[in-house]
Amino acid sequence: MKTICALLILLATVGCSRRAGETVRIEGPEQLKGRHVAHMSSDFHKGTLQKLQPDVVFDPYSEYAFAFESLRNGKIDAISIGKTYAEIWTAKFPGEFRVAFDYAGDVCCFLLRKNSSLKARLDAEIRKMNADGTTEAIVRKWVEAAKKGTVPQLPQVEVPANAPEIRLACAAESEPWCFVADGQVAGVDIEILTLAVNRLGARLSPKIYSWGGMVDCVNGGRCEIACGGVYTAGNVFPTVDTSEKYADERMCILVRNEDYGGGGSGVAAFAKSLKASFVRTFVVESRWKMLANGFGITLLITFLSALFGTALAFPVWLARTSRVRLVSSCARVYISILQGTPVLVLLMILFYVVFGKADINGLWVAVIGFGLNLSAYAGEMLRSGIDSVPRGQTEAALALGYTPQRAFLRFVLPQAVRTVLPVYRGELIGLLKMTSIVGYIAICDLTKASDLVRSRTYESFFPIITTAFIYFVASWALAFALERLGRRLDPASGSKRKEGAA
Amino acid sequence: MISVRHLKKGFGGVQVLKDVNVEIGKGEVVSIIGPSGTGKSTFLRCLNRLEKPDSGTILVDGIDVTAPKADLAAVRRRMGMVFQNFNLFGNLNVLDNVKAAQCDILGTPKEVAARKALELLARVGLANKADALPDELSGGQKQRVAIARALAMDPEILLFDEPTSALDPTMVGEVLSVIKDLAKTGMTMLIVTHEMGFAREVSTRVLYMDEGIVYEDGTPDEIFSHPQKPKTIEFVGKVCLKHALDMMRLLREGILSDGRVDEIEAQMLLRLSEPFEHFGDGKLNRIAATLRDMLSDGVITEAESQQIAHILGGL
Ligand SMILES: Nc1ncnc2c1ncn2[C@@H]1O[C@H](COP(=O)(O)OP(=O)(O)OP(=O)(O)O)[C@@H](O)[C@H]1O
Ligand SMILES: [Mg+2]
Repeated sequence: MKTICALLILLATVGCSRRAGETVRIEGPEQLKGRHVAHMSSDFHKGTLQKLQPDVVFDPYSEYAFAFESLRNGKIDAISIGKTYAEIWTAKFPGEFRVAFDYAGDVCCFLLRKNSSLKARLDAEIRKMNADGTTEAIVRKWVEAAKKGTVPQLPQVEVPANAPEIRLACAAESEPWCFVADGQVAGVDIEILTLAVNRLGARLSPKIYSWGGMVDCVNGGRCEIACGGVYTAGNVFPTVDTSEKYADERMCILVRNEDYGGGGSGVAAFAKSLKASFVRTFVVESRWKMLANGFGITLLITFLSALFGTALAFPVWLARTSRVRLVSSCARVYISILQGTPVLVLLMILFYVVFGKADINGLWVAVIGFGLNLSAYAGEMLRSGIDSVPRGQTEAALALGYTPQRAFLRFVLPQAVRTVLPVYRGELIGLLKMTSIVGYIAICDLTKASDLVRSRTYESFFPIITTAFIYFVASWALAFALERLGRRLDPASGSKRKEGAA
Repeated sequence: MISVRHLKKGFGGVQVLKDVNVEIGKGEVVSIIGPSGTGKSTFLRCLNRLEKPDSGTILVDGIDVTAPKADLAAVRRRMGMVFQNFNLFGNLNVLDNVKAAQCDILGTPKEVAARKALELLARVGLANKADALPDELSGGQKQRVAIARALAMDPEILLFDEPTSALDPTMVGEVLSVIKDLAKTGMTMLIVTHEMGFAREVSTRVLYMDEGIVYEDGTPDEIFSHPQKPKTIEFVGKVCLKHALDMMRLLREGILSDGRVDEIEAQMLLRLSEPFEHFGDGKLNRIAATLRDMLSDGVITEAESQQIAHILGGL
């Protein structure tokens, strides 16, 4: 689903041409009158900008990569963005963009659980690092590296064997603060926290979540700290505490550079940029490995959930058709609850509530969630399939001396499976695509890997097209495999028929 | 061979079989007739324990089928059953339908079972349909496959529950002729049927079931031509009248009008009056009463009843 949305956004972005009549050069809030400004859901400075220019039009965006694409194509006129990001972008794509003006101040910090005893100790360490210039040096180092496209080494720290663990939830899509390089989390936030936590005598164990997921994580007690380029803007996270700031930040307006001549035109230039995109998306930092791993995880979750859900369908069917009223009512409630709950919500409930305190791998939570969901549908499918086989066939089998169990397995089940297979196949393909939401519970599947890559390359085309293509091929392969199975079960074709003729 | 004593079976308060007692010997071909809903199917299904009797005993070759520890599979293996709705296995082709139980239950090697299945299919005239699917067959063909499937287990007894009721009239004949051939082989058979002509021709004995019991038991001639008890007379009489009516319809539609109308009418009247014979002089009154019944049940129309009455006037 997420991939499809992203693809639609991308198509909309690409399909739009540059706005005509763009003559006024944007220098300050006055020129933003009636202009379209991209605004991230994580950006809390909307109000400030609106006070400066009430007639600005905000276009909501979920990722900078998409906003960036839109700005380039002229779909929007500006992006409201942190100055650190703007600095990196203008350096990465020289001449294409410029900072028009800045309009608000902000600070960078971390998020902690409300009233946690850790806050005072962590704040003290950050203050010390701020005072002796450590944090400033760290920020400079990562920003300069990002501009050049390199990744600095994280400091190696000695951790005592019995050091307590401090769990960190990262939203790792915000270079230079927190991002994934070579399959590892890196960035300013990680370096500062590694040092600070080390000085507190503890061990930092980071895990990648999504932006929303990491806040839930700290709330729900899964993690002690969350980070990922958090600008607090005067504590806009009501449910969590913020740490001492470790850097100052300015919000600014990034626009196209009117003087930019473009990166050349013609087929050669296009081919060159395509090749550059390919290299950035797949080759640099072996990003293909991350995507391949993600795909592996997607397949694994799909496979295990299908297995678990299908196996569970049998008890669900048994309970649903039980002659004990209580049991069948329970089964009915189970089915309608699971069919009526969006899987994402179910996963969140399982991850943050049911298994909130348990140290269970998100992968298993996903398998349980998707499996439960599938079991409700597959159970009903099984019921309708079995009901569609005339009762008389069982009686005929019994009359021949079959046991009820054997008659069921030999005659009823194959026919039931054959009738429900087309629907079941659709359900499994749906499952494969539905797994794209597992990024919310800290699993790096194909979609999440593509998100992470996108956040580094600042472009959406390649990761999204690739992701869509991989999903498509996988769905197609799955459909094909099940089609084969269906044909084997169909007595009207296949070997059985020939055997009979022989 | 089969001995049924005080068999009782009810469904949720309705006593369907009240007290069934009957002895059936080896090689007997027994037709079971009676009005709808009197428990003919239920009786047959009790014999191979597709229904669990409430009480009474059923001995098959001296083995008590109703005993709690009875080996049902063993009993069922020796008692083939043919159903009204054929109930062929939809996931198997014709050959496999006939072969399956031999392999699965008896453990017959595949080739042996296949050979036997083909022989049986040839016997019911369907050797060329071995790899067809049940869905590709006509009703009559399906029923013949079902008979072959039952025969494949080498049963000693065959139970038929209205084997031709679900069939198109054009296909009844082919199935009945297979059953007739079987009857000649000396197989013990119990046939629930509404085909009175067939019952009369094929069976050695007829059971008339009504009121939850075997109401009347006798040879075909006794039951169809000289029934003794009121319900039997009424039932058989109705059947005969119905038969006469069917023939009259055919006459009217010109299907049988080959110049033998008089001959046919005479035959018809003979048949019509047969079951009422032993009422002697009261016969006509009795027939009139039955006609009134049928009229009020909607089985015949006013015009038809007039017509019958008119023909009867000639008696
Ligand atoms: N499984 C069952 N549950 C409840 N009632 C049943 C069941 N099977 C049969 N009956 C009832 O028992 C009675 C006898 O049924 P049965 O099928 O034995 O009659 P039948 O003589 O075979 O009639 P027909 O000539 O219409 O086939 C009917 O009233 C029927 O409704
Ligand atoms: Mg019946």
